[in-house]
Amino acid sequence: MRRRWPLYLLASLYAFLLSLPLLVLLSASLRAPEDLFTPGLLPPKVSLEGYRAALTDYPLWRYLANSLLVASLATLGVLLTSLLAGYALARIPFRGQRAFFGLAVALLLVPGEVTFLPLYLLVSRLDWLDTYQALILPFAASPLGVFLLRQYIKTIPEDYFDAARIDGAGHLGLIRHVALPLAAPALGALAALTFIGTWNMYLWPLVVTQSKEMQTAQIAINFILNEADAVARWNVVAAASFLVLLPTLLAFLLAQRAFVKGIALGGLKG
Amino acid sequence: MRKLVTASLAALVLGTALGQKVQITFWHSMGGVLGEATEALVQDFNRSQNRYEVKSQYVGSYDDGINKLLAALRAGRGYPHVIQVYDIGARIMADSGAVVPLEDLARQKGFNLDSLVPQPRNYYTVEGKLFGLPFNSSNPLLYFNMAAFQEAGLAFKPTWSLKDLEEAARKLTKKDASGKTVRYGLSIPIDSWFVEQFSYNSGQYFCNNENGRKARATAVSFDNEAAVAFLDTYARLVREGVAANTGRNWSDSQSLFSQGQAAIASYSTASLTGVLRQVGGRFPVRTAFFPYLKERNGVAIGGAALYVLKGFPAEETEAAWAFVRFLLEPKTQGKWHIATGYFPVVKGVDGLPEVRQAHVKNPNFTTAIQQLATSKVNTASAGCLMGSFPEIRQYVAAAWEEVLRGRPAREALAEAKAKADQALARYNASVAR
Repeated sequence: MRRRWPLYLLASLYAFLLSLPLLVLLSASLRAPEDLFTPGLLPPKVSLEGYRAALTDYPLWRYLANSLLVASLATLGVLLTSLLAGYALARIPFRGQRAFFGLAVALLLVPGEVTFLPLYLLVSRLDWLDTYQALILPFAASPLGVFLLRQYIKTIPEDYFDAARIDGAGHLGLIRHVALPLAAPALGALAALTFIGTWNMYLWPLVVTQSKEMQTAQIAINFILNEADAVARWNVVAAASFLVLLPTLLAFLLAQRAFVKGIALGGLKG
Repeated sequence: MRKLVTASLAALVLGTALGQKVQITFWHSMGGVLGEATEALVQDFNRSQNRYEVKSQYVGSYDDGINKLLAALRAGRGYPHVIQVYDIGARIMADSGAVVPLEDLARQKGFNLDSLVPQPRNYYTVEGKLFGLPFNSSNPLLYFNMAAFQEAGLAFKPTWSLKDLEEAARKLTKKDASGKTVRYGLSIPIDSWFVEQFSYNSGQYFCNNENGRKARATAVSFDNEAAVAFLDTYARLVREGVAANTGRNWSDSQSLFSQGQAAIASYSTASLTGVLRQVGGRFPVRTAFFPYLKERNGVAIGGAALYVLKGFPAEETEAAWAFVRFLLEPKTQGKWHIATGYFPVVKGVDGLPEVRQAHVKNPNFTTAIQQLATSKVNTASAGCLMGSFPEIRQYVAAAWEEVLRGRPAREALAEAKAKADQALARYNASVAR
């Protein structure tokens, strides 16, 4: 333990560097407008004006609720579709399995910009503009998830599945009792990635929404920030950013625990 | 009897149908304090009458808004009745064919456009027709730290040539014993807008065919002597430690100015409220007209305009006009001006008691109006009208950065011009098809 202290010192230093931007943001959110550019990490005097303005001048709660709904449902969707497709591609032999898997991998290579306009036209033609399904459904399945889960389920030893089969489990039972618990680490990682990704979406929600009530938290930050050629109220911007950041921060911390737990659960004893 | 009941029921149903408000949508790109002021105007309009209802939506930055509009136009649905588009989108909007020119609407409704202030009207006039309503109109100002002025023994004056500005900046610069600057004399963010405005204010054009006003612009002319002198002077001052290079972000320059580390700065008139908020009474601030090279011509306006889009039933276009008409009321303009610092675009707003009161309280708010009133009205101060403007601005900013790295401005601007002319030719070819 004593010999390890240089390592801990270095690690703490690195951790401090990584969290510095967050600390600067927190500090800016607690400053009065005239102290915004005063040097130093600590605000000269603490002012809650930024939080008050962010929460009362703008419907931030509504935006946050929208984002939470969209990100959670999209994440659930991705977990479900990835688990089902991953299981099928890894464990159910059928004709064209390799082709399907190849297709999923190929989709990984298509950048979002390419599908943006066609997707918009599709959503518009379905009359889905300004609805939650337009915000959620296009992201409720992901090729990355399918790829990740298929690879992960492939590594689960056949013995587990055989044991469950002997107990009379069908495919759904195999998924529920074997694939799901054993793939928890992969699902946890996928959930964190998807949640953060959908939470941070900006252009798509901006383009498919048509009313204030449907807009998401990232648009709210831009709304508070974008003063055209005037001057942004940086303390308010920082306060709103911090509030919008909190859920992803929590999601990440929770998922981190899931990673560790999943790894501990999934180990095969020799 | 039954017939009578049916008839009266029908009348009742019809009555409620008639009583239903005509709804129109309005997309804007005003965030923060400006966004609150915009939403307040929309609410004022909705309350002022009971036939129409405007539903406003914030659609992100000006660029985001244009992208959203283009996607909706492609889909042929979901686009708004009224949209705010930035100044440099004027040519693109006129070429798009999706806009009902304001001039046509005004003539049809018997509204006299002569009540508009000439410069904003000229800016959004394309081929003799006013297309958009100049909604938020700004121009560039000089911002002075008057405590520093007093310390250096300099007197305030409203008009500045580049040479005077250079001399003042030198006197205002403070260096410590090691020769490091502790207070810069001058700080202007790297932004093509200031090069454009310096050209106009010196009587020069930014693009050919008299700023694209006599005929469609086919080449840029930002390699004019004014722009060259402006960039060379600024780069020289940066090398001497008199001017600050704070990059492209306005807020980085504003942080210097508000901390008293830059004595003169240049921002938009719309920045005034925010700059005063950040200075927070540390020192008195005064504003003056934007500088010029030899003789002051006049600046063009910046900001954005509202466009009424085609393709809606007559009653909805009627509602859009009613909204525009409401925004042109001197009272609305006065409220907008006081809340944001954008200047009024119709005549007779300065005389309103609430506006006069605000001006007495903060005389800096009159600088932009005075600057406009004393500007010459000609094709130079009408501002350059061309397509591909957003892209071309990037080339100018990049040229500015190269000049700061030591390249002569003439060379850097000539190279940027070659790229800009290509972009413009591409745009013009795409429109001619």
